[in-house]
Amino acid sequence: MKALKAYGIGWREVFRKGKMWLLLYVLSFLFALLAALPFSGFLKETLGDSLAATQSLPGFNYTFVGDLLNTYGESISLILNQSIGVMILFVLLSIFLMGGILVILQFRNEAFDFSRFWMASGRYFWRLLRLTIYFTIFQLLLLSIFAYIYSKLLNGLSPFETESEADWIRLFYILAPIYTFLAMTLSVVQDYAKIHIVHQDERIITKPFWESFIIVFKNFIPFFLLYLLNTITFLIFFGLYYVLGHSFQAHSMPTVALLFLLGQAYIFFRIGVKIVNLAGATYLYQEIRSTDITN
Amino acid sequence: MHFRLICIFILLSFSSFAQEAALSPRVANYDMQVSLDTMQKKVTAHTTLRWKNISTDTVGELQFHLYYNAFRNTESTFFKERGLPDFFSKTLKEDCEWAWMEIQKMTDEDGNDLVPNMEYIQPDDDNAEDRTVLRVPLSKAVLPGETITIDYDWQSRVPRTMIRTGYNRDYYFMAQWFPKVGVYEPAGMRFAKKGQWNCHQYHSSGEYYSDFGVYNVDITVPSDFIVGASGVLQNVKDNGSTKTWSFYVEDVIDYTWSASPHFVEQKEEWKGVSIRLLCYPDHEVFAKRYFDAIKNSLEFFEEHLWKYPYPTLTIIDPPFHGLFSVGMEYPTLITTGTALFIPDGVRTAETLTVHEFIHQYFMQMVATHEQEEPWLDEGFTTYYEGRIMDQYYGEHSSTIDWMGMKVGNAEYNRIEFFGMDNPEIAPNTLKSREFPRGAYGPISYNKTAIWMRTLEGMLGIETMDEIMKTYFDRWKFNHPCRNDFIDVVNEVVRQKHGNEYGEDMNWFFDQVLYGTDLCDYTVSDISNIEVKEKLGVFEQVNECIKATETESEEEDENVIYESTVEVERLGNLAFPVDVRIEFEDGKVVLEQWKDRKRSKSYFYKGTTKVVCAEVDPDRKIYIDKNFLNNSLTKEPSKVGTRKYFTQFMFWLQNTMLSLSAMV
Repeated sequence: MKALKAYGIGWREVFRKGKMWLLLYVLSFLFALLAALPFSGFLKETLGDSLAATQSLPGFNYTFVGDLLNTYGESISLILNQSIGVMILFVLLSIFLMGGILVILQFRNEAFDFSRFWMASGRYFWRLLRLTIYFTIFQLLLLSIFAYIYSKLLNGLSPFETESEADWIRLFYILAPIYTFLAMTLSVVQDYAKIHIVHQDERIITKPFWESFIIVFKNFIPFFLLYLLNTITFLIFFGLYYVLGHSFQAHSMPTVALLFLLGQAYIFFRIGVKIVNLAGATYLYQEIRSTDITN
Repeated sequence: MHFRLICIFILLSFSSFAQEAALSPRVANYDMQVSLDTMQKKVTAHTTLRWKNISTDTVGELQFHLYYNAFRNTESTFFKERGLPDFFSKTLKEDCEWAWMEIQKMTDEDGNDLVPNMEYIQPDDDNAEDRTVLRVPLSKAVLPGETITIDYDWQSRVPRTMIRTGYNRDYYFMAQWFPKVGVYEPAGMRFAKKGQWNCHQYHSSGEYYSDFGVYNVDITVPSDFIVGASGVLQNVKDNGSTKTWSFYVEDVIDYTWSASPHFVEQKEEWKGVSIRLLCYPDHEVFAKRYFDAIKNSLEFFEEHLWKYPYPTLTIIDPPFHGLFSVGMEYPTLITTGTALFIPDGVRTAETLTVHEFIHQYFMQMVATHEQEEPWLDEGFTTYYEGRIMDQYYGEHSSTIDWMGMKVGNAEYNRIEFFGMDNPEIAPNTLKSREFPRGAYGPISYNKTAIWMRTLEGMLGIETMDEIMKTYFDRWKFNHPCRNDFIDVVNEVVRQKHGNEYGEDMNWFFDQVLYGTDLCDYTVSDISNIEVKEKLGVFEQVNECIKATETESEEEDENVIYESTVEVERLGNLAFPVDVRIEFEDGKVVLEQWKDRKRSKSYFYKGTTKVVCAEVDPDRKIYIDKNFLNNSLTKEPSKVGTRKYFTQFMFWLQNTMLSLSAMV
């Protein structure tokens, strides 16, 4: 019940802080545009006066894609390398904005305040950056451990040492849910560590790091359920986008525009779900802290 | 008297039937009694070989392939060329699981012992340590038309997870597993200038070449094993702890078998051909896909070349630990394969099955030299693989049709070739072992298929089918070489098209078969220049032509344009190509560019402008490396580029958000 309530509050907060939602979406759009602009120039230069791009429109055209990669592989790789740089910048920006988002969500019933948002973003950047690095290392470690176990149990994944590939599939079905559960748990802990840093204004991150572990394991069910609910919501939005996106062929300007709008709607709601998760977690955190203080 | 006449008539009928029934010259005929020791991983066998000298030469020796000796030590030509792959290293270096093959006793029909004079020879590289070819001088030479019978006892140790053959766990795949006589080529056959044995060593790259014959094979294995083999299963004799499986097959160039206690058998029939599938239990789900692929191929070839002439076809789907034997072709037996984690829309099962089946026609019935001219079997097979897959599974979705991604077989082969680092690295005509690393597959398989499709595009499908049918009819159960194929192409093209493509088609083969150049056509420019009316004083000084004043609409209608379309040949290959030119008023002109010039201009004068032009609009010249530059338009549509841009942007946005989930 706590998780459901937090989920509901999360959505309410998203709409209440609509400006923040819009700001995050616009930033993601601008960064993607910045990274994609060289590709636009490339398309104009290479295919602008050719019939090839238009002829390739109905569905996926392997000959078109193959010729493009074979002929202009180096240019495309250059564009992709540039966009990786923009992506890294965007991750840094996301860390920067995280402090602002969490402070705004801390004040539940208040409207979005730009100055508070930007101040908080700057204030918590370095702490959240360190925290992100630590948790990324933990996630990689977890993945490595599972990859090692998987490979070890399957004799180094050598087909010649395997009775049937069904063994690989069976073990995957056993290990993948365990891994997913642990990776999700680690993400939940990370969320509460972030919230703890902002709420307690902690400068040394080891304390919120351990405290968030304790908080999460003491209140595991609502915390995890909330995360699960948000993950399911994200999957529903993705499923809707996939189904709708594949329900028509984009081969005219209006259908291309429709596909673009559909994609942007999905991105917008994906960002919304992220805020819902943080708002719901903030609510749960505040509830638990207030109960602890009362007791 | 009547009874005697009837008897003679019946005997004559049988003998003429027997003669008609022999599809091949039956040069190398084997009776083999084979016993597999699964504990020692050894094969012990007795073979009776009846070899017929169909040449006009007197032959004083036989030469045999002893392929398993390629896996005898690190000094064999096979391992010197290949090195020891990691996954073989432990079993070979530490467990000493080297394989070998030895003839222990060999006598001719007069009882002469042939062993003392035997010697290993190395016709390809003089590597004295290589024992994959054995020369056996005969006590009595074989005269033209004579048949010699040789009896030999031999033993071999079966390799573990070796290329194309061997065992792993209790799965056995026995290919190139017996001492097999080479091919005697008299002067004039293929490239032979004098009578000679064609019996190459086993190299790290390349396949096989052998003569047609009849095989009568008894295979004794532990009683719980199930055997799949070339030919028709005659009977299974239970010996208690072992069983002997007897098989018989006629007019084939090789013999292969496989055994495992875990095989599950499924059978289907197609117009008298018994199709037998042996797979492991968890692969039974793929049975329908394999059978459908085979039936489609059988139907295709019955329609286009010839009905499959053998009564059986065995499909082996090796287990995962038997991957070393996946995707191989042997007479009336093929191996296919897929994996449970490959989605159904990725048609590995169908592609492999169709490909390996086609080899029954190109390699087995038309028995070209796989090692010396790999393109003649692999290239032809890849070409037909494209035709069959695209016909039965969709032109642009036959190889992959999954999650919105669609890839056709022929287009996959084209991109494979042009996707290699250097498509100009080698001509088609190299021997398998002569190809630079990584070039054998894309050139022997894919490039051949692409230029065959180009030939089909130029000549039309009917001519192409006639070429292939003529070639097949003329050379089935024989050993043709590239010149024989080129001769057929020249003959059929002359018959069907006269001199339309020149005196012969050698210009085509000089480019695609012997050459390494690439093909790339482009439309480089379109211009529309308004023809201004003539103004001023011309012949008579007192007659001045002034500008006429007209209504603007009327003026537009009367404007004359001189339009020019320029097409260029960027690559060195040249073929006759169509050029499609479209005008503003919807008129379309189809031009043909046949010469070998580097560029060509087309001029038009009229009241309408050229809006776009395209070289090879029907993609007949499939060997063109870049279709993107084949067209040019004066009125570009932005729909395509906008779609790709917005899709790319969406992908970037989504990736950025996924990465920011780390925060």
